[in-house]
Amino acid sequence: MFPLAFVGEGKRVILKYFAGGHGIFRKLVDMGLNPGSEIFVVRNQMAGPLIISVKGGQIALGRGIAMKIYVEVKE
Amino acid sequence: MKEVVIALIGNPNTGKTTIFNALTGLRQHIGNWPGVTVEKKEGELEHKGIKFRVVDLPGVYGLTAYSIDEKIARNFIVQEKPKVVVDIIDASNLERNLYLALQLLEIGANVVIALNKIDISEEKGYNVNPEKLEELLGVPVVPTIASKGEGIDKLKERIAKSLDKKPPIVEYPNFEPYIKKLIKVLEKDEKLTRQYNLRWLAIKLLEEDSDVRAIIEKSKMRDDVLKTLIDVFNDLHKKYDDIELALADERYKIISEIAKKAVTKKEERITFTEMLDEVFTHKYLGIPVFFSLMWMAFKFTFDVSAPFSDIIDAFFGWLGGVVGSGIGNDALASLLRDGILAGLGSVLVFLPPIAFLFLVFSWLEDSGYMARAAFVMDRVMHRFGLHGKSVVPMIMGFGCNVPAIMATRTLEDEKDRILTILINPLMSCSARLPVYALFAGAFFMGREGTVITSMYILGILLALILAWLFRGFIFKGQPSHFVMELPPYNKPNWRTIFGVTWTRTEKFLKKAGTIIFATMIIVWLLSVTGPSGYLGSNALESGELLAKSWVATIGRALEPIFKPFGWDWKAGVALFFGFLAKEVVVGTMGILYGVGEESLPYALASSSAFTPVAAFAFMAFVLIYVPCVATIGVIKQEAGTKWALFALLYELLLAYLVALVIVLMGGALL
Amino acid sequence: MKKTVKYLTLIFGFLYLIYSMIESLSYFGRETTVIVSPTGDLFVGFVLLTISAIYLTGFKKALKNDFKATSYLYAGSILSIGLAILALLVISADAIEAYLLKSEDFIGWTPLDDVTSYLVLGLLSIFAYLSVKDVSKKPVKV
Ligand SMILES: Nc1nc2c(ncn2[C@@H]2O[C@H](COP(=O)(O)OP(=O)(O)OP(=O)(O)O)[C@@H](O)[C@H]2O)c(=O)[nH]1
Ligand SMILES: [Mg+2]
Repeated sequence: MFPLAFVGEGKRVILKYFAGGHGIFRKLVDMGLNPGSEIFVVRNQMAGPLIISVKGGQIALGRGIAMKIYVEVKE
Repeated sequence: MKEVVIALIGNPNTGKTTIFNALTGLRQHIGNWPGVTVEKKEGELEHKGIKFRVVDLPGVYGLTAYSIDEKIARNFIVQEKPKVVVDIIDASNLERNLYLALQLLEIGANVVIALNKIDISEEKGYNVNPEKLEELLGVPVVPTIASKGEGIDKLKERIAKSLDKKPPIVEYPNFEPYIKKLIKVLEKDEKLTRQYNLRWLAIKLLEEDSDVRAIIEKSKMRDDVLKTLIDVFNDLHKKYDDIELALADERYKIISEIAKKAVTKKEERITFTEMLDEVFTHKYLGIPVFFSLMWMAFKFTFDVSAPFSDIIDAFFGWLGGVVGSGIGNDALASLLRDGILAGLGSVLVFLPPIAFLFLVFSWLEDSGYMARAAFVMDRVMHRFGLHGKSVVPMIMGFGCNVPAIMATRTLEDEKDRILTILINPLMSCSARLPVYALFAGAFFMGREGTVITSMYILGILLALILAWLFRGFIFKGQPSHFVMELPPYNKPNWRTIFGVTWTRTEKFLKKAGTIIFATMIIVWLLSVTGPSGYLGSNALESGELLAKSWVATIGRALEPIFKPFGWDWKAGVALFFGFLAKEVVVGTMGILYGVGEESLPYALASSSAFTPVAAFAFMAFVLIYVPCVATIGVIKQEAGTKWALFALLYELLLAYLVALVIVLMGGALL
Repeated sequence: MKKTVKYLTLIFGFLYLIYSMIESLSYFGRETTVIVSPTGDLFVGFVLLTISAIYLTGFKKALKNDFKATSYLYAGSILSIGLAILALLVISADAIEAYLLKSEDFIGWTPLDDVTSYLVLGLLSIFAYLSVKDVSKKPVKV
């Protein structure tokens, strides 16, 4: 398992868990990012925010928060 | 006849306001980024003899009451109990949108679903079957394309028909026994039973919702409820680490079952949104593209609007001639000619660039690019202690700071929000444009473009520097996390774009007709009268007479303050009244420089009141010195009196400082 | 189709690069006229350079046979055409000044005075756009 921030563009991963705090993650869950959901990394340029696609919608995520989202490669 | 209350709710940017406007005939602000509507708006609708009060709520992803907008939305539904809750669902993003729908059903709301943006889901290559969805969810589903007005009539009909429907109950298999157990205790309190949907209270108790917890604290069954809750938690914790997440998971499982049955995916397609994003959010290309688009927006504003300004100018010139020769009474003729035509006329000449500015920015907002601007600028903003989302209010500030400051509500973090509010007045709004255009035209012939651009850039630079300072000294810490949905790009919806442009232009015209008009009359009155009484209309042509007027008295009182810059007292008077609205600066100059045959730029240039350096310093001063009254009002409303005063003070100081630096540097260099 | 993308991005990338150089140089006082005379606006140079960079990045991707190259051709041509539309609007505005209002500043003005590099290049970009405009209507395997 590793942080979402390290996943390259064009990869598909599964969200495993959130590391730390509560508040902001609750909002992410409401936005469709619940553990178990499939994430497609649309943009990750290893600097600045990422763009991910989840359940058909696109979400921009800051690098800081992407470091706290742990994912696993989809087998 | 009693009004029936219906609420519009949905995820951000699904088209709620578009539907609201279509239902009520109003013209509320629509834009293609999440978080356009920040307060609830109301309107009326009549359908088949029934009167409805329609409420447009801010967009929310869930009803956990995590941020202000979620609280507003949830409280409205729980407390006001609207007869029908219309959930606007983005068909191109069905699963995520259904999450809110399930939560609405939990509350026991009488839900009607508007399945909006079916054109976009088509483009993406899927097909949502409304009948199937209706059958699976047990609530009416109406497909719509709100931006084209399709499906609205059908929606009205279904709303009217479902007024007294009983909403279906969604069951969560893994939690049913626990929910039932809690309901059994809760229902012993009649007051709760009457006011709330017990099922919802039970679910929220499982999620440890603090507001619901507070409700229970007041109940007479408090002790029993809490005891049962502890039992339930003991059981549940054996199975789940985090019950809230487990419940979310349960909801998403149900949703995914529904989606599987109601959605047919035709094929994978590459949408033009994906193609544009590949470039517009590119690490290196993104920022140059952003600046190129900004340049194009301003080029359009200034160059294309020019002939229309000339037409208005010519019209006022002609009118002045007619009034001057046609009216006998000296005072009346002077009021019309020197006060209203010269004053208000000087401001109205700028109607075209202002309207064009609104037009191009409305288009930008509608296009979907704003969210990308926030994305690409996030890194830059971060360096100055701002949040990526601060970019949206900053860009809106080019139009008008008042809605821009309202738009900061999309920032969840209080520090980020207040910081973004404080620097917003430095973004040069449309009211300052007349001042730049006037002075650049008078003193920098041939280099107007560069000079005006430099004002905008000065404003942006100061905003960034101050944000950095404020972050370092007042709002210590890091900007909060960046999370933002990126909506698909829109082909221009001209109806929306012109609607928004017109609403904003209308506001400017109203301002011209009220506050600017009134101030012009006051300035005129104070110019033709003085401590010795009425001076006669000649006061505005002869310097000697004008020196005896009230404005001169005010001007001379202010003169020492502006001495270092080398501006004459008339400039001081213009700045003094400009506090009400910045356009007034130009209007006041129009009156005081007695614009007759010549137009104002020539009158100014030939008056020798300003050197080019002094003129440049004056422009900078007008950019910075104080936000207009309306802006201060909205800062007070959004951030409190303390911060409004702070903004006022720091801007006055900063303006003085910057103007001084310009004059000194200009003196040293030239 | 791959080939068209490769050639078009290369050709337009270079055309925009050349004209962005000409525009920038003219700002610093070195006027060079190649077919149309430069505007002398540094921002024009910047915008043209941006568009050129988009096309050339697309070309780089096309060389690697990356299907994303199409996106650069698409976005580049949209920006180019947008710029040309802007230029046409400016011409119309100036035409109103010259022919309807007969403004002093526009005596002797002809539409040719407003024909700029970005107008011509933008109109040419229509070809680039036509080659990719239907990409989003066809299914692809990603
Ligand atoms: N293609 C398409 N676009 C639509 C449709 N309905 C609305 N839009 C566009 O979607 C964008 C968002 O519309 P709004 O009405 O502002 O959305 P909202 O739900 O009020 O958004 P917030 O106030 O931010 O929560 C606008 O650009 C609309 O023009 C539709 O059916 N099809
Ligand atoms: Mg809205």
